Amino acid sequence: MDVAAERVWEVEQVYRSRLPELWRVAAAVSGSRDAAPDLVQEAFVRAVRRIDSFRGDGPLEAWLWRIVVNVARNAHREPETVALSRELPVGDVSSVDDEQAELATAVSRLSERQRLVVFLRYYADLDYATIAEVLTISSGTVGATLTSARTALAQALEVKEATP
Amino acid sequence: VTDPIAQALDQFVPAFPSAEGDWQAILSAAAAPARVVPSGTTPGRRSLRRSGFWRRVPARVALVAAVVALALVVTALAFGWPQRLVDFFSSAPAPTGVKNFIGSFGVDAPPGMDPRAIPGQTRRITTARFDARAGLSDHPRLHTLYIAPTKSGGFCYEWTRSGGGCAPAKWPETTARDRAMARALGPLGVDMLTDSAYGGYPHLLLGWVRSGATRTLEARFADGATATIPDTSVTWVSAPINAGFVAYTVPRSHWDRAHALRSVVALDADGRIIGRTSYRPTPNPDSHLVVHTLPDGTQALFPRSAEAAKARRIISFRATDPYVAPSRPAHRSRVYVWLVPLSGGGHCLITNGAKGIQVPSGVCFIPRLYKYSSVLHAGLEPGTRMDFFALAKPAVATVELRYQNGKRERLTPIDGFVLHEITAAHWKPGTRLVAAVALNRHGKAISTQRFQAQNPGVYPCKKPINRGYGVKECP
Repeated sequence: MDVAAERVWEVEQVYRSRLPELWRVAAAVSGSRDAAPDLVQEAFVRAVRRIDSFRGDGPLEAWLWRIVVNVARNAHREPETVALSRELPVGDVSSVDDEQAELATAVSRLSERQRLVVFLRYYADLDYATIAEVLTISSGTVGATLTSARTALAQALEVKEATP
Repeated sequence: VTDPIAQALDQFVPAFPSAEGDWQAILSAAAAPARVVPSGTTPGRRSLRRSGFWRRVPARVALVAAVVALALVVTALAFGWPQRLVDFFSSAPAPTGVKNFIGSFGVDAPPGMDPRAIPGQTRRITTARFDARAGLSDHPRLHTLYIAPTKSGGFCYEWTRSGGGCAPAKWPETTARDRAMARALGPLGVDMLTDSAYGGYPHLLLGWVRSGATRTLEARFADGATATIPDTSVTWVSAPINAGFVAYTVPRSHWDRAHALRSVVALDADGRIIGRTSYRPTPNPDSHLVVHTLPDGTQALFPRSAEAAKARRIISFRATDPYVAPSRPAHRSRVYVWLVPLSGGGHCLITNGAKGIQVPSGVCFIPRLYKYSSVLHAGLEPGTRMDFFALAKPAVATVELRYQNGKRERLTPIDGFVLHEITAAHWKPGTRLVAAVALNRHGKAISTQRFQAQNPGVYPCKKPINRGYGVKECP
């Protein structure tokens, strides 16, 4: 088996082992739980098709997460193709209660980078180094971004945030 | 400490309780020619249109053709021709009993040991004729291979009336030793089955080899000979399994020490070794067991030097089996221990045990190895009743059983052996055996063996708890 075939096999392992988390992040980023499976499917089609462009200078899983995030972000920017909530660009709005609405509003007020860091940290359980690879930023920036995002969310939820 | 933000986020986009993807659809879509994107459309729009495209009926027809074509290409690339390939998803579902058996692997598994099989997806893959327990059955039988994928990308497999196991997506590499093992084993997971009736050397290979770089499996023998394991002995299974399953009978000419199988290697297309499983023959000829027939007609496995005609019963009593089956009343069964002398010194002991094992193997005391055994080696034989057994050296005058409720029983070894029925009075939690203490003739404790009284599934009970997948277990 050549290198590309071996990498496709590795892509398959990530797909099979991380599918629930992939769907969850895609749902969070795109704002549509229903569209998440198709978005992840599309992302992995792209990944397999472009496997030769993976240079191997970072973890394969980070490269795959980057593709998933990009596909989901693009879907979020095309509201005519996916039923998104313009008011609350993340989360399903059909069943949110007051607290959830507050959180949704708080999340929507985060910067895009803050949102992505939060989603990748909490929904995919990625470490700082992998998140840094996904978003092509430094690990230090990941930490700082996550801290500022948590502070903003804590204020919205009236949670007393412990200082590290 | 609970993180309130994490909790809120958890409710904000709830986890998907289960996710079933379609990897074949990804492969087929990736293999299809990329469509030209009309100017003015965004990548996001294009991607979502393709997602909808999958749902349309004509596209499904095209996809089926693409999947078949791609499967052939992938098969040719991955496995090489000619080899037997079984399409996993086209294979017949396994019967419920097999699914339950596969599912039971995860019931009460210790942390990290649950293979996370998906029993509902178990498939019947193929059949093969081989002699799994040659010394006892003495003829090849038909065995069926069942396979289930696991949630982590591995698989579990089972050859009926033979055995099987589970394989992770990759060998675990958490420690340096694991990494070294993973490098040595490569894509192989092969068991070499030995049979005492055939000199104790491997007579059958059962296991698996991962798809990937492997092109050839080769058997290597002590006399320097090699043999390519034929394609007919390997059944390749498509995604999500992506592995070949080996059932290879070692040629009879290699069932002795001089010609015995020593290793199996996986070779890539350039003939390089990418995986190896080795067999280290035991230097002790006494460990090669053969079937002997005792005076009462019982068949059992002992060294060749066992003198079955001189065997004598040293212990015999009737024990109570209160829970043989719900529909059957309690009955009393005979428990016995045979002592079988060895022509070169030493002896073997054998009991019929609580499970009623039909062809048991004995425990042997061989003088030159005797010094290595411990003063007291005790255990519980659970089943429809509970037996305590112990092997005791001559220094042990008495074995004292100590229970959770403070009660004690003293037993005297007979010819170095103790067999005792743990009655139902000591089956409930709080009353169970916690220690067996070896006492010398002065009453001094010289060795203690402890027992875990809290472990479920050890002691019998009237109403076992259903743990799922057909597993019923007593607390």
